[in-house]
Amino acid sequence: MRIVIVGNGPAAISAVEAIRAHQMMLGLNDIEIWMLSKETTPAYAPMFLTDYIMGKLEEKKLYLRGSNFYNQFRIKTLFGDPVDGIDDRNKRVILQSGREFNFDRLLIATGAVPIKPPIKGIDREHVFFLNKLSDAKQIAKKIAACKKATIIGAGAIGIEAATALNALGLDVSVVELLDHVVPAVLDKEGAHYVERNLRQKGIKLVLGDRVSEIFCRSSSKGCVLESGKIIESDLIIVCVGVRPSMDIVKSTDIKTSKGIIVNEKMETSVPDIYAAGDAVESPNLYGNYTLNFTWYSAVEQGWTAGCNIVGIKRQLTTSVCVNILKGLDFVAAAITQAPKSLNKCEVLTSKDEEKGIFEKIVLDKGHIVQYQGVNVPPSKIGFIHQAVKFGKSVEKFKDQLFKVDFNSAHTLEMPFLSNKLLTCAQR
Amino acid sequence: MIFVDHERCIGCYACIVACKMEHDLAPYPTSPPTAEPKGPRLIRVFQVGPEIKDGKVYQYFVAISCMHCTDPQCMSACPVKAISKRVDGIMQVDRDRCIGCKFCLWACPYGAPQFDLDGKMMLCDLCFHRLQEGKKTACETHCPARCIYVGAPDEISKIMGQRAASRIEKPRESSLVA
Amino acid sequence: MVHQMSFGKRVVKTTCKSCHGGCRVIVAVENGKITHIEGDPESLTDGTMCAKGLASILEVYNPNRILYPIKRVGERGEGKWKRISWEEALDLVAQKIKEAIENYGPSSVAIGQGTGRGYNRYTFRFARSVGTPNLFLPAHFCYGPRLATFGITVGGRLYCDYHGWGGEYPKTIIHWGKQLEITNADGEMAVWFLKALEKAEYFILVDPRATRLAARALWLPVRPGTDAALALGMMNVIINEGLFDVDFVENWTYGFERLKERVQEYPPDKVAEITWVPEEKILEAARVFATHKPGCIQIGECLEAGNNSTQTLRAIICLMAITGNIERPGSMINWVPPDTGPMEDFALEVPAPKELPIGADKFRLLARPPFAMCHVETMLEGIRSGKGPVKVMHIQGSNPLVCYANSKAVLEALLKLEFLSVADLYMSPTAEYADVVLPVAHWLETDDIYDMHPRFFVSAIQKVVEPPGEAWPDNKIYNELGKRLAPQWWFNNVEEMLNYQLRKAGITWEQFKSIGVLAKTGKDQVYYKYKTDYWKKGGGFDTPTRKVELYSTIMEELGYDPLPYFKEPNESPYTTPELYKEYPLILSTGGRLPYYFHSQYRQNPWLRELQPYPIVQIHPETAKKLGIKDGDWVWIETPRGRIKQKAMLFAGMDPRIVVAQASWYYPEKPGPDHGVWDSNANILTSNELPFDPAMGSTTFRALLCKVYPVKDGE
Repeated sequence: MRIVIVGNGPAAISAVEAIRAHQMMLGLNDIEIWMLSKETTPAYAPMFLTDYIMGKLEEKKLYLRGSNFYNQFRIKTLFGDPVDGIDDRNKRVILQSGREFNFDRLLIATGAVPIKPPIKGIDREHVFFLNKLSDAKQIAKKIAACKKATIIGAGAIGIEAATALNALGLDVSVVELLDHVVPAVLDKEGAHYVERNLRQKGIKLVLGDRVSEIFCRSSSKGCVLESGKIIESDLIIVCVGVRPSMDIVKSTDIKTSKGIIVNEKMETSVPDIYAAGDAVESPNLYGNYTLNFTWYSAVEQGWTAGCNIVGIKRQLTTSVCVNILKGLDFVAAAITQAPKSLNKCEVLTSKDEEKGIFEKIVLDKGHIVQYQGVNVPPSKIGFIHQAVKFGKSVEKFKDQLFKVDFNSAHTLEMPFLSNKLLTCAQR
Repeated sequence: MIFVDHERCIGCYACIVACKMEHDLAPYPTSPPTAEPKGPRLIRVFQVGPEIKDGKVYQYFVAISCMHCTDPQCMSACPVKAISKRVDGIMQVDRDRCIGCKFCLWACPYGAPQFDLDGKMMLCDLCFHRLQEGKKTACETHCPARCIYVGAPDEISKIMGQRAASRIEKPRESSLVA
Repeated sequence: MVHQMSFGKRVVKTTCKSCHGGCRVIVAVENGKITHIEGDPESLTDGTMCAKGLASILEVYNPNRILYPIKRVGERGEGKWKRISWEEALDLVAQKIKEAIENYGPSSVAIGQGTGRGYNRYTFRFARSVGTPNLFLPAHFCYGPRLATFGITVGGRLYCDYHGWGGEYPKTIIHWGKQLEITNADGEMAVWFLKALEKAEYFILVDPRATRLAARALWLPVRPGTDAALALGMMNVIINEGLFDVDFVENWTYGFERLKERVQEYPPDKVAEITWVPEEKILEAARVFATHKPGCIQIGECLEAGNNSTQTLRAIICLMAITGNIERPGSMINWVPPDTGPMEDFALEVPAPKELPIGADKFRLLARPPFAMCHVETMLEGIRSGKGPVKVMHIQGSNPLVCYANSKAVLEALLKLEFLSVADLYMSPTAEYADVVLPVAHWLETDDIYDMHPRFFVSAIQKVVEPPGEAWPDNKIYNELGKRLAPQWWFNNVEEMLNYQLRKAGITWEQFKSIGVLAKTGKDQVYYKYKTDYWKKGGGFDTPTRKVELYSTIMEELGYDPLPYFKEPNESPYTTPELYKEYPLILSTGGRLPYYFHSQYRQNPWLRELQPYPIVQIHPETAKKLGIKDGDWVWIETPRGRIKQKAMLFAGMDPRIVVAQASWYYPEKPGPDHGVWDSNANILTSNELPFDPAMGSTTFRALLCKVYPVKDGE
């Protein structure tokens, strides 16, 4: 059997490991795996690109697996020749060079691509995205010569990039269309504490505005905002979001919506073609089909796809979005796995303005469907993560949830102890 | 694999320090002393309560370490596959591979991943070097309340069952009955 | 026992001295360095240890240890020291003591020790050998009252029998102001108690706070300082309902009818009002203790730190007696000592000084032999006023600047001394103000016999590694000083001294090291000793009437009420209502912690990490009214002064009570004070409020205070 995997990220790597692990178990012999990727480096962790830029982690440390991984797992690789399209009828992929690969099973793990906003001048040479290692390498090379930077988009990546460049000594401004930072992660209430911390670090925030033009003249470089404001910057990073990379399924029968649609077994609408990772739209615990651009999900989806590819009918019925903001002086996180409508949900919030603590919990019949936490202990995030992922009911300890040090210890059945004696003695 | 009876735990913290002793963990003495010394705690003790409802006291203590889960969330979360499970089920960390990203911490429902002074992750290793010699783990050995049990899952179930049964068999209602 | 394991490796069995307990431990040494400490599973403590003992390795290898004897060269507290030799140091200390005795008389010398830690007999012997009756000890508010009241009522100390050697375990256990599960104090161990608790049917907890075991107990949330009323109320119920042990009362107690009359003044409804404990709980506790026997009562130090300590303890001992819970298996036992005999004899064999201790005229029970002790506050006042008699002091293991009431007054007194020498492991705030400081060795660096309280065993503390620098063990320091001052009572060397102490058991120190523990357990313990000639020929207790004296003839003789009674605390909503208006919260100080022992271990990072800052427990309702959130720094203020501690919202107590921690200083803050004025509860306490009339006990546990948030910049 030949399995072709398009992509070389966490979903792809996970899938390969699942295939090889179960192959032995199932006594299957002849499985040839091809990995096709437009990138040429071994699989790496894209979440740490800012650490790379800051010099905290060298390139080797970003690699997901050891140098011998591809050999060890007997993966045939073709890197640097992007896949152009898929002929799903005839079960083959066509690469840009013209080369073709037949497949028995195909896994599409192409990830996500950055959204390119229609800003005049976006192709200038001092403008970068922060999506691939090659982006990070280019930025890292340029930084020494830069003094001012502008980040377009105050999403999770934008904030991370801003704090990273700020830590390296640059003068950083962030421009955001909506009226608060990280709008896809935190509500305005919670985002307020993030903004406070960013400003404390000396990062300038321009909210409720957008970049209309990026200019590069001999005397100055920078961007012009819709409001008319001009921000000089010798380095601009565009972080307005990502979208699933779906171009290669354009002329196929593979159903797509916002992403490539898959079921619990990571099967697309076309038999023998699977998809996993940032590229997919998959069902969550509540039957709601969602995008999920997070690490944890990509790994699990890849593993699930790999299992199903070799015939193990494994179902992944959970898709929890875990977003943790990096670069701040505290941990801020949002964990979501929600049904289509949040209308009948119970919303609980707690905040401490002085200490900069904010928490919001949205409960659907006792299950946490959305959690936002600012300045909470990381171990609490771990607990909430699992509670949301597996849809555990927190009804019994609802009133404990907002305790600063809430953790799994609070969820043991409160022992009903003491004072059985009273009834005894009075008999 | 490790069971702490929260109805017996008295919150004395001996397990925490026994573990530090056993693994020679930070913090280490400095001159002058440090006001807020910090180091990894491979077992942690929590107090829940007290709350007084209808004249009854609700309060308990419990110690939580890595649970060496059968489906370890930390393992799949680790980007660089630094966390693995031994054949005997005990979790272990390859500290050369670990990059200190904390993804494991954000996946573990027990807060088990701890970070040493070098930023790398450490986990309770179930004192396997002691188990190999037929000894008990450092925490189980020293607990004065005898509330920590380490063993194979069926052994633990047996102990839990015995304790529940002994409570039912008592001739008169005891103040200790749940 | 020392085993040669492999080249460079040794395993040594010794005894821990990090608290009172004395757990047996196994220490591994490699190439002269300790690599591991753990409990000995084959010992009486089953291999358990507490956080403090387990952190001992960081005491041995702590860079803050005092390494050499030093002598002050600047002003007191300036921090200028000169290293001197032991010869010089001991000669100097001995000379100062000698001169003081010659010029002012033996009472001008005070010898101090803090908590008992198994070397008490050396301190006592040293003081007696030098001729001074003045021991600078916290005994009058810590353990001294138990010593005295057990002595006069029953003839000897009683301990809870958790061991079942007589065939029975306690059916009812009362912990009265005690957290034995974390303290292992005063002769009992948590591991024995917790085992017995599993077998017990009833557990009664008397404590203003819902401490760790409160959820498992019948909890009596007693108002601080009102325990005597509670005990008397319980006796009222037991006696009036006819639940007392008729046989024991009739045959083995003295003064029952008079006690019965006294307790009529304490009906349960009145007691409920006084103590804030609901009446039904008082009734239940009394009935349970009287009918579910055997029962035992573990008494905590907090009962001794108030203005009515003597009568409170007397009442509780009477409660034990009228229920027949003395000397029967599973109740209160006076242990038969091991073959060495009581180690205290090592001190008591030296004749008591001729002069009476300071305060003997006022606090006559405190001054009563054999453990006649001086009243510390009176002694310190004498130093401050210049009226004397104390002029010279030697302190071995104590931090008076932190642990005695009114720290400012304590410092004032210390500064007026002509000479002060302090022996300690670390430069405590007290040591910083001394003239000579002697470095002391840790228990891992010491050879000694551990006998904290006379109980059924003694164990060997065996040196594992050499002490750092030139630190010496306590017993060696005493011996060398003793040789200079009263050689007839001291020995050529420590080993001789240890051999001497073991002579009754017929073994030498070398042999004892291998044996490790001499214990009388199981069938070797004797119950119902009063039915034998053990104390008195023909049977009986070691009291003047040969009975358990519910009506104390000795108290009568000394001019005190022979029957127990209740007295309101000095400061309370009822005795000082005007003060209560301004200081509307009841303050208790000094609740115990599992990882600190008084002022010890703030420089031990494994322990300091567990709680880096002092905590004051405040009820959430009270905190809300005062605008205090969990974790906020707050001021706690009394008429004596104010301190800062971190608030912890604690729902397990009456909202009118606040509990602050004691003995806090910050070794990381610069000397000489090391932050001793910041969070030390003894800034709040008083050395002038009325003391207990018989024992002179100071009030630490029932005061009035106010609490308010610390503002930015304070």
